[in-house]
Amino acid sequence: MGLVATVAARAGELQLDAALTAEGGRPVALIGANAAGKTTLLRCLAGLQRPDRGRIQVDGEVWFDSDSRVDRPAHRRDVGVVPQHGVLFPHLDVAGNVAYGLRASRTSRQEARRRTAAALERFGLAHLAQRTPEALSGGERQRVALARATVLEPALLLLDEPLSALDAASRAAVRTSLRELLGERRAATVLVTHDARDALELAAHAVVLEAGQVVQEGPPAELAQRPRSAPVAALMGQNWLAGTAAARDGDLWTVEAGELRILAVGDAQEPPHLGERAYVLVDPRDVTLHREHPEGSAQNVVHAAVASVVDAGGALRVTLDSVPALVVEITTRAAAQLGVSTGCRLYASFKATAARAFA
Amino acid sequence: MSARMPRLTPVRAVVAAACALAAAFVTLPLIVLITHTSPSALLDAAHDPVVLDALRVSLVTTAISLGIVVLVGTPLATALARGRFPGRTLLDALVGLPLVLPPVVAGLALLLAFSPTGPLGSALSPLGVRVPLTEAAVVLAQCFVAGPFYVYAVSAGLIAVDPAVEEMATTLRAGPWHVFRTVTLPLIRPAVAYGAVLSGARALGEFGATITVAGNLQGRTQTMPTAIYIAFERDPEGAVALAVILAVVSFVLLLGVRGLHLARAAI
Amino acid sequence: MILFAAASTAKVMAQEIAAFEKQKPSIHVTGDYEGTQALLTKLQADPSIADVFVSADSAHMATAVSKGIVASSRDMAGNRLVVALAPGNPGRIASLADLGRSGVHLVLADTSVPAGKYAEQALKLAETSGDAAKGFSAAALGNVVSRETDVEAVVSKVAAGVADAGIVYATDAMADHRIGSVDIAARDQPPTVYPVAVTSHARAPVGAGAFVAFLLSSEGQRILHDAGFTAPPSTTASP
Repeated sequence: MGLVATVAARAGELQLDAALTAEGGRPVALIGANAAGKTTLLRCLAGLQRPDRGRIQVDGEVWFDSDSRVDRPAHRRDVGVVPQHGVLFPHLDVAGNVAYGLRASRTSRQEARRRTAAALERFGLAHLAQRTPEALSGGERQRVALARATVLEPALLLLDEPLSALDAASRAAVRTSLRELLGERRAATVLVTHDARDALELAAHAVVLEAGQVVQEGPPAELAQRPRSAPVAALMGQNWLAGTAAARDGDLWTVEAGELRILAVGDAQEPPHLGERAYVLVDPRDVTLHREHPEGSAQNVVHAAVASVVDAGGALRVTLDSVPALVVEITTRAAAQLGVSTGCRLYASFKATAARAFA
Repeated sequence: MSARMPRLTPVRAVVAAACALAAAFVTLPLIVLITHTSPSALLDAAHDPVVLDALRVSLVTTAISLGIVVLVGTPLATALARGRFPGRTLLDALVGLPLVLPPVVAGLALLLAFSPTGPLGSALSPLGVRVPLTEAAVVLAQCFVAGPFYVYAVSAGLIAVDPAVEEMATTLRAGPWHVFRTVTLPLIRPAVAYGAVLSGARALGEFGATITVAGNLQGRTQTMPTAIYIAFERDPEGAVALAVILAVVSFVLLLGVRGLHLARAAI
Repeated sequence: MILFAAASTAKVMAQEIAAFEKQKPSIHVTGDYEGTQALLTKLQADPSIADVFVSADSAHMATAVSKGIVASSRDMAGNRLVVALAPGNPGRIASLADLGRSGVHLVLADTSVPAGKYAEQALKLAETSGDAAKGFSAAALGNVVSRETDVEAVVSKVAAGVADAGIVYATDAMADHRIGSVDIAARDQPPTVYPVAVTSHARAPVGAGAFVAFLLSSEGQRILHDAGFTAPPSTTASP
């Protein structure tokens, strides 16, 4: 049961060629940078774009098969789509938007009313039922889009960056709705995102798409811990420092990466080879920032200027202009105490055990 | 200036001047027209069987023309706004041709095309169908001259519709026709209403093409504009009374459509 | 000097002006050709707008006299009516009487213009003269599919073949080679007359008088005759 798909399609310059499976009840996060082919893949699954080749099967039903020339139009696919910007029907009120799919599928009036009311209740929209979309906030609109897509209980739910267009406050609220929804859902769900936290929090499985190809997949936590390429590490929000294995002292390795000499624990499965190329993985949350040179057990200290500060929903991601650049994640509160701002020089430290060296 | 009055900025002054100028430009000739007629002349005209016939012919043919224009024009506008086919630009320009053609030329072109020796007339005459100098020719002339207004208005309305909204409907089990009925049409309703009003008004006032291809026969092909023209030859003062009647009827219709549209929008 | 002349005289008047100006190079004539009623409306608004007025019938000239626009007029010429036939004569019309046959598509000028009035008179005359059966006039009028705003429009509809026949001036039928024509017997012809007058408020009364005299002269009359016009039904001048 669930989704089994292989899709080859063109989207502008990009050639998408990907296989994707999603079991019922185990949401899949589709992660990738902009123009990696995520939205194209989603449109192919929904029936909004015709793949050049491939096969799409949901709960045993074939929606598309280039070999046997099957191509169900979008309105005959048991699908639900939540786009990035909600895309509500501007001429219908909230209840009308949510009821649209039920009406179109000729659900009886009574049944449609009951299910619409239940969906509005569930997403906390009951008091907004008579509002028009233009009178809603971004978060409310997105909740309406969620209610509209899920009221049909589709066999395949497609969420295209449902949180990315929202401000921090409404993002938290919609994320909560989404987590509850996905926790209960027994059918297949694909969630497109470029934010690792969405994947870690909402998905059971993650697939990383890069330039139209699947480059890595697995449980989101594993992807964060063991990214197999710099882009995957970047998407999962990890520091990926490339250099040379310069020295070894038992389990501890010294990796020379650009201007940095990093002391890191060798990976148990893929330890580096002396004198050869090696990679060091550091979780930004394991790095500490200081005004003065720290005196403590941390083996790695980097002195560099702040290149950028980005809000990451409750936390700040601070990028230092060291070579290679180092990303640090600290709380907003800590940043305020430290007085972090672009251009100021700070010390960053992390323990050798927080850094892992790979071949 | 009172406190409630908005401040007079140069932009507002220009806008106000333009409004006043336009209002005067439209209303002054109409006021002169009305002052040139007497209530008794108006009353006479309103009871004149020639006028009543002309009014009936005008309203019936305009209604039929508008029906045809909407029926044919809506798919045509869809093709122009959405279609990706060779010759779309050419078709777009062709649709607008009647707008720049002098109506008499349009009428002459239709007359020659539908004459027994013309390309269309020669195909129709073995079937015993004669178009020129009939009610059908009145409708033909009106559709030809008034159709582009509707097609362009609806086409512009369609271009403004976000395709993502229609796509969203298809992912919610709505087939193409259902999407058109429940999403596209409600979204372009203002454009449709606007196009229909423009087109209907143009059809009601159509003269040059009508008299050329449909001729002039009381009760059959004599429309209000034709009756007014004929009346000018015979009795200029009576013609003014006719013109006033046509202006009033047109104004009431326009007002009615406006009101209907506003009432619908309010629902 | 400005000439206001009925539309059906446009071609012949251009010839008259050319001949007249050759004789009297000092006088320049500008012609304005429209439906008689339209010309009369303009003259009523401004009696000095033209120096010479040529009407297509005596009724309009009588109006001009009664309104003081002209003092008196002279009959310049007459015309004959003919039945104009569509190319190939699809209605198989051989005489005026055939216009009453059912199924014939007939086009006339509207009765608001002289040609329309004359055409209706001709239909009635044919019935009274016995050239056509009783009830012919009503039958022919029942065959009318359009009342055109001027004779030129009648000619163009017949020439396009959208009607089988029309009743027009012989001069119009002669001028358009696309249409055929059938003569109407002299006894069925209504008296058509083109009166001419110098306007009372003419700005160039001397030139105007000279031009009217030229129209009535033997040379002026010869030009009219060559264009198909007849002598006026009675040569007596109206008061």
